[in-house]
Amino acid sequence: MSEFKKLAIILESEDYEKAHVAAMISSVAAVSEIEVSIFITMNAIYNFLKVNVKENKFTGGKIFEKLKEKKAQMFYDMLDQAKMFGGLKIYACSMVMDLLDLKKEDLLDIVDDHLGLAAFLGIMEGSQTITF
Amino acid sequence: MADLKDIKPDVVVDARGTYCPGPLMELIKEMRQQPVGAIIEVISGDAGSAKDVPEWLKKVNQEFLGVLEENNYWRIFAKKTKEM
Repeated sequence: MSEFKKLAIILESEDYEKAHVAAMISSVAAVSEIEVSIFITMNAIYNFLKVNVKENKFTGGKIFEKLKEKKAQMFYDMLDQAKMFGGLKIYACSMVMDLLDLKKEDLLDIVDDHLGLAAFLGIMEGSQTITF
Repeated sequence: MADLKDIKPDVVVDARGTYCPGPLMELIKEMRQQPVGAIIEVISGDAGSAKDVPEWLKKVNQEFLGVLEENNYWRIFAKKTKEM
């Protein structure tokens, strides 16, 4: 593995599986001395709404069904745990928040802030980037 | 090094039933609470973790003592060598 100390994840999809793999990668990176920033944008925002999480309302496929059946840890709990153990920051896209009239309180508490792209591009600088 | 089977861990974390990266995260949770020098055994039902945990220990400079493969589970031994 090449050496990198910063990882940026852009989470765009509403698919539960993508949120789950993003959370898995973020967790392991955050506890491996890698600074992780997640940018939640477009349809991915729906997975971070308190109202949807409370009702367990997610869009997923075959693996999502298996994860539920086997009672695997949910992606937001994984992210919460990773935040306790390492350097992980989660940002929501301010454009999507405006579009949907969302306030910070509508999002899960694991979301640190909402940002525009100029700010996120600044945070991403020098990072390895993965998009889901 | 003494035989792995003779190691007496200070604490045993049974992470069977959790999925990757669950066993690793359970180890980290425990390791943060234990004093330097503590030996921790993680029991994992997930084959990937038997490779993943040693890799993580190497990365963060904690000690990997070894792994024992049992019937359908793995016993992974680690020693906390520095504060984290």
